Amino acid sequence: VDASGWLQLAVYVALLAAVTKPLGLYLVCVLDPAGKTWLDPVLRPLERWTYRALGIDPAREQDWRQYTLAMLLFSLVGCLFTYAVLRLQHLLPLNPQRLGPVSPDLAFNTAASFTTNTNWQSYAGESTLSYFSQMVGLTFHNFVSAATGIAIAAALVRGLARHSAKTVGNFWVDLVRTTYYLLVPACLVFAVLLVSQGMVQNFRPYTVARLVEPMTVTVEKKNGSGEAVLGVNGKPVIEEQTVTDQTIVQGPMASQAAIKMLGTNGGGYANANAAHPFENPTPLSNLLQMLSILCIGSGLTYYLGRMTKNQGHGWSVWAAMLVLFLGGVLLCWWAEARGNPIHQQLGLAAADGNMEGKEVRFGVFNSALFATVTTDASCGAVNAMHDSFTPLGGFVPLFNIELGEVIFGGVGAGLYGMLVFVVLAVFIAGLMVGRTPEYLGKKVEAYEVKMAMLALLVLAVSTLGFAAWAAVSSWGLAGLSNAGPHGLSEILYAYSSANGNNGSAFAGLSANTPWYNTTLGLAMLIGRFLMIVPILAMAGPLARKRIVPPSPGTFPVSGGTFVVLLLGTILLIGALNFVPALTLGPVLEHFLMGQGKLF
Amino acid sequence: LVNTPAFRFDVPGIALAERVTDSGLMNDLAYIGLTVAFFVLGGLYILFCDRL
Repeated sequence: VDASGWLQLAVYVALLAAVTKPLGLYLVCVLDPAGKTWLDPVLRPLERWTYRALGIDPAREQDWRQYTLAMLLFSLVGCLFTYAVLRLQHLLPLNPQRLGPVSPDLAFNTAASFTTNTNWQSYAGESTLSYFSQMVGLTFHNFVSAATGIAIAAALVRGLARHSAKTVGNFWVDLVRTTYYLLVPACLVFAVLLVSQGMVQNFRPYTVARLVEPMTVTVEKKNGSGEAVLGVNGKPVIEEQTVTDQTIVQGPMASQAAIKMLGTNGGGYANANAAHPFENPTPLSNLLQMLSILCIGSGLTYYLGRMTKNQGHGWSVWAAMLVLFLGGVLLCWWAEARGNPIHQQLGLAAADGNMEGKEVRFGVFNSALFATVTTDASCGAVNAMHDSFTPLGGFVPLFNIELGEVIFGGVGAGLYGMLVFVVLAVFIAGLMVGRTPEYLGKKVEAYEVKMAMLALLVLAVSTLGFAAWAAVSSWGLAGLSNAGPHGLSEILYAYSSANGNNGSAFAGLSANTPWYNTTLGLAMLIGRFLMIVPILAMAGPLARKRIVPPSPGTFPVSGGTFVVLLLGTILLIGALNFVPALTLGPVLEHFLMGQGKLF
Repeated sequence: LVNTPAFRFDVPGIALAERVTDSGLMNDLAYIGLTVAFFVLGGLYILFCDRL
């Protein structure tokens, strides 16, 4: 823990705070169908043409059921489209490497993954997917799944801001405007910035370079579909390979990396994701990528305050997020900087902390910060391998995901997840003082609390249920690289990441098997859509309610007391749901590491 | 939809159908069916939440 790290942390937080208000104000314009932006002269005709071509009446708003149904139908069609692209990629253009079709289970997993903004990757992009699959099948979802998240958040905020209203907006309008006015222009600028840092953007076939000295490596044996071959004991078969050539990956990386970060998608062009020198070439590109992950989520808190005419509330939500963010960064940084005590007992220099699985270019602090940022949001891009973190260092990204990624969060998903906690916090506050809970002048009644609990419980039930199933099944254990509590952490992380729509992985799990691909794909769909439905079901009735004037008994939703109550609610629910499992995973591993046991 | 490996779930009926048809089409039908079924469930979930 050094001065340079503190300085970088201060710069990062200052930049995040600085972009919050301008982005929030811009979001107010984007998410208002009549809102004016400086891009109107170019984009307004395109927007009108899109509505005409698709038969959308932008002036016709939808109630929450119509809004939800439109979102589900759009996602279903997108999911099936990507499945078809992946299965047929050998027949489609832009495939200079002549890569074959993706196997059905992997295609299902990947289609579900990108439809849900998860971007979990059970494959190595550079050796599995054609340029067409990357650009059309996946990048398409990077934009629209991010826009869908923002649309859902906007619908919920409208539910809070409106009164005596039957509608919460028009899903198609929100989707089109968010994509056209926010994501596409921002990504164009960001991609050019990334190219200026040396990120690759071309359509050339991969370059093959001959190694000066051949080397022998031990790898898992793969079948024709790129999946691990399992032996009679259910474990992956290991084989030795002599490597004489190095294939240097290239392609349209910068364009995918821009939306991967801004849309909190996280799916890497290359398997090494943002640890790859082409996908994250410089310290500046690293800083910009980390900033881009949280900036829209941060701006949405300002949007919340502006729309509900209570800017103090927006900033209070932001402050609660910041406290959780700083807590995560500091714990992860401390644990990684402290390193592995067993190394110290062996007399190995620990001046640099735990450097296993980290890019030397980024070091401990930037790896810890990136890991925290990417799991505060539902991004999942990585610049270090979380599996190689110390137990407490790995605990932070895992716990961040399990809290629901509400710390600035995924674009839109962070805000609507946080607002679920806010509803519960004001409900608890109301119970404590014995008055009917109110939130922004609206009475929070049994229905809203039921919907909030449905949204939260589905994550816990699905994550823990699937993880428990895998932990006692031969198919689940077969993919593990590590035994004991670390193995449990690998399984728990996979299902937490899938349900939380994060997409980052503990690298030790061989998840490209039919069972893992299928169960993780289902977990992603459950974590996304079975959470969104009750949230929109909450937005509709909230929009219908009248606003009650504040009274002396009204619990204020801005200021220190509210922030503390909100933090307590988030941590308490997170702890109740997941601490027992975490105790058997990273916490137990931490104590055993102190006794000299590693896994 | 060619050259796909045999269906690997241990479900006797599907495995038998896979052997009979000798193609990967059953895989695709199974996963497309699973996806559609999930989203139909999502639609029913709207009704459930509405009536709660």
